[in-house]
Amino acid sequence: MKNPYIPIPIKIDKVRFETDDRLIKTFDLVFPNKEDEKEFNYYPGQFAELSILGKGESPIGIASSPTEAGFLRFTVMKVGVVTKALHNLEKSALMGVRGPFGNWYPIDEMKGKNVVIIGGGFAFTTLRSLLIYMLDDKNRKAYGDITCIYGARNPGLLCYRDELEQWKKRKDVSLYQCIDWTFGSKGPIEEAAEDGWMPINMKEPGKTIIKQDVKKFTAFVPQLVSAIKPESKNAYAIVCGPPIMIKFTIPVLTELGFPPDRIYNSLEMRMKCGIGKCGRCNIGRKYVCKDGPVFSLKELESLPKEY
Amino acid sequence: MKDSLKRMKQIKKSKLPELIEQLKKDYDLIGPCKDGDLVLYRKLEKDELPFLGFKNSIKSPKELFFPQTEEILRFRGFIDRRIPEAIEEKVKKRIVIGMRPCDIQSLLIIDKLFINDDYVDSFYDKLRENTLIIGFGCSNPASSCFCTSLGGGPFIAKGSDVFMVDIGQGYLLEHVSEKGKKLIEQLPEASEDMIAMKQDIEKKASKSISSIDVEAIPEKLKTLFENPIWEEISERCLGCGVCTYLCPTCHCFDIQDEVVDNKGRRVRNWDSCMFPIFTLHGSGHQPREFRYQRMRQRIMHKFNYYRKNFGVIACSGCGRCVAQCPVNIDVREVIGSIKNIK
Amino acid sequence: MNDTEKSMKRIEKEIRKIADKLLKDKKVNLIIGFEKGTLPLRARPSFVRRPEEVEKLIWNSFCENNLAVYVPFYRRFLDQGDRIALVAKGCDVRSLVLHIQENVLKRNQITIIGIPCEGMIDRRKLAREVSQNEIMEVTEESTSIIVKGDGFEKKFKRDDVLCNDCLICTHKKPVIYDEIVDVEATEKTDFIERADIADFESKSLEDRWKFFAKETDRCIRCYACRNACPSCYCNECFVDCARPQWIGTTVDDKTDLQLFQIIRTFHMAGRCVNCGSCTRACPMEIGISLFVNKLSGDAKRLFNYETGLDIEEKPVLNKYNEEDSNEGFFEENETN
Repeated sequence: MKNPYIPIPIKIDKVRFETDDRLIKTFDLVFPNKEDEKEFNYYPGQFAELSILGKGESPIGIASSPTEAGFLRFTVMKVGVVTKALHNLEKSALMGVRGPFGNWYPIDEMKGKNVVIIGGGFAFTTLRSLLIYMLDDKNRKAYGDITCIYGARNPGLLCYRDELEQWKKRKDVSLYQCIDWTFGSKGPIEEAAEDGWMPINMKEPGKTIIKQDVKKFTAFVPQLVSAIKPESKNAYAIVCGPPIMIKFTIPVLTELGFPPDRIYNSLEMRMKCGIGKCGRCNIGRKYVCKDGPVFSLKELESLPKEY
Repeated sequence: MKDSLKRMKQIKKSKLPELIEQLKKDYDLIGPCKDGDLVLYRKLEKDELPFLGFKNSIKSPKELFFPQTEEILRFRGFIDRRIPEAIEEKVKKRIVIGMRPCDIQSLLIIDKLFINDDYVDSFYDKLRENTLIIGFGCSNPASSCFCTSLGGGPFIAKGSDVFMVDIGQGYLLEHVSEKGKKLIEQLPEASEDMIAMKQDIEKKASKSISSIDVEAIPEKLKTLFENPIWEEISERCLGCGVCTYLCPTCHCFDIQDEVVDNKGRRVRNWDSCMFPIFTLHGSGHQPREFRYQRMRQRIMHKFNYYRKNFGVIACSGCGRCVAQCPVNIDVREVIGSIKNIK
Repeated sequence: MNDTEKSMKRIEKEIRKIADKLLKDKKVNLIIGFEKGTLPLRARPSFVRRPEEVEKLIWNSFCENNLAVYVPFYRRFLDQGDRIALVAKGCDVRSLVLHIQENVLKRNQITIIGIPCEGMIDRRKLAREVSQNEIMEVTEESTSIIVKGDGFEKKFKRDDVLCNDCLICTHKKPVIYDEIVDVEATEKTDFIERADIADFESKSLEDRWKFFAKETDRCIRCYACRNACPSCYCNECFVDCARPQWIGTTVDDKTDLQLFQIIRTFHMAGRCVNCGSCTRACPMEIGISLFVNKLSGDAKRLFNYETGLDIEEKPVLNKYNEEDSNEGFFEENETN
């Protein structure tokens, strides 16, 4: 019986800065042992515990899609002891991984439906996994329209910018991006925060008229969702972002007609073991590491308000 | 009756040391030992006998299966080149003698968490597999005991391999499992009189145990998350970890790395949901800032969530938390208060 | 009922009367006192907010907790204008004085109901005397205690079963108070050192370490000692600090345990009021107050200082005097 606490050796193959503030790096990791790679079967939405012996472990969402063979991609923000040590490691460094853990996005349930992906900041990481999975030739036909709305505070903080450029060109996905406008004392202003990022109707985002080829906006993510008005019939919404973005996006989706069992979230929580034994990450009877981190709004509403 | 006669063996008190030394030949024998005023479970040395004149040990024997500090792996080398060296020490075969039914029941309760279809905790599993248990009936329960309210009892043998009862002039030993049968095969059979004596002691002991009504509690707790009772119950609480660390069903732990020069290890250490930093996020977000929130979590987890997830209440009524809480917070009283909420 | 029991009952009545008046006059919103516990012999902290509830307040020689430990929990409410009254023995009042000296509390935020105390009984000493039997009832007399259980009855001299800290207490009468229960308490005037502390000090450094290591060997890091102590109220205790992490929670290697005990002991230097709550709270019966009180003895010897006697005073390690003893500092000719 395999010991679930022992990390599997994994090597850093590629490292790069993902955002201009240099606080977020993307790591491509490769298993030195091919057997381990074969056994690491994962789905979009799952996470792994990245282990640096001597520093500890950190639960990080898997950014690569299972359709991308040969490597695991993780996008990591430098926040604590482990992530700081990780940022100091270079190509060919040996570290460890445990996983894959948790549940995944409802990729089977969503077959035949339209999918609206909404992401904010660096929480987009597992959404990348989902998007690449659905866009893969083998899978694309299984899903309906795919809309992606992704925002960050400024253009330099968007992740995967080279891939965003490619997705913009595709016909089988509608990609919208937005950056924040910092409200000054004058309140909401209908101005582009930067060249090429069109303003929306700040007072009534729902009344914004979206011109044909305009895909980049100055808006907060919830407002852009209001402006684009994704169709809720036969559609699922997957939302990942900082708590405040989620707080304001959910009501918008609800108003557009998305029911609680078709709105999905990925939660962040303090975790240690990743396998539902250490007792740390529970919300009510559910362990975020084992029964989550992906939860539908319906499930979340049935749990105690302890988050 | 005939069947139970066959299972029931007996041994005079003067003959017990012989049996103990016999068991020590093939197994590490762990039993209750006196350490000053305290009773603790540890390995019995040569010629050492278990101390059986106790009500219960101060720390529960859960630490024999889930140690307070347990090594996960060791490593050495520079930080970008370390590989885990799994710890290859073989787990020795052991017998724990003198374990109380409440503590045995607690193992059955946490078995469901540590060993299930999702993941098996290899460390706990190995220790459980390699340990036989000789349970010991409680002839004189303490005033803090309440095992009978949680499906247990002072003479319940379930979960042990052999079950032992003190009937005055000697002990009765009943084999509960096949492995246990072998341990006491050679002992003489108990007489009907002896069995009758055991039943008398059992009746008296069971009657003396305090009882609480937990029947409707899990369902009721579902509706009480926002109830002001939690602030009332926890006003006295100091926020220490005595209840969780002495509790035989508490299982929360932390994982830490330790390094000295270029050698190190990863360990898991007990942790407590009653400590403020238990749920502190790296970002600074603190979901359970106040004592009442952590008290609520503890009671909800034991009497509601665990039952929902694994079918049993995570409490065996051993009463250690009741006896040792520095400010006498009594979980029996807490359950009673919850029961009385309209 | 004997004389001592009558006197206990009288103190109890006084406490209830004072509490009742304070609540009815709306001088305080909350009274923290003692009530009957759920196990034989136990008394426990009680929180009373309405006059009808004062009947649950009790007094006996098992009212052992130092209730000043709750003051830091109520800081926010006190600053918002709520007022608390506290039933306080001699040592508890000293904790309140320490809180005032250290700016945790303002004098006018607390109403002190002082109780001159003849000492608390050590339940463990009683238990030791009856081995594994359980005491179900106790009767207090002026110089003796009678305990009863299932099939036994025993009598002890009071001094034989009093808490170690109470035996040498020289501040039985509250040093400050707003209300005081009028009862005699025979004050010892000389500072006495505990026999076990004297014994510890007579050991060589090596033996002291061996003793300390053995005593703290069984610590389980439950922090009952820390949380029961009114002087330990840091928002972030050094053991909980993660960045940097000073010590871990490992127990098989004793380093973390020993560091915790040593550092905590020294954080208590000159701040301990001798209430014994730490030792009482420790489930592993570690003699914590021995080590802390050794430092209290040092403070008395080196700087003639006793904790918590005067609200105008500063804590001993917060002030400096040129005549202060230099013991422990290297002299010019020392060859250490």
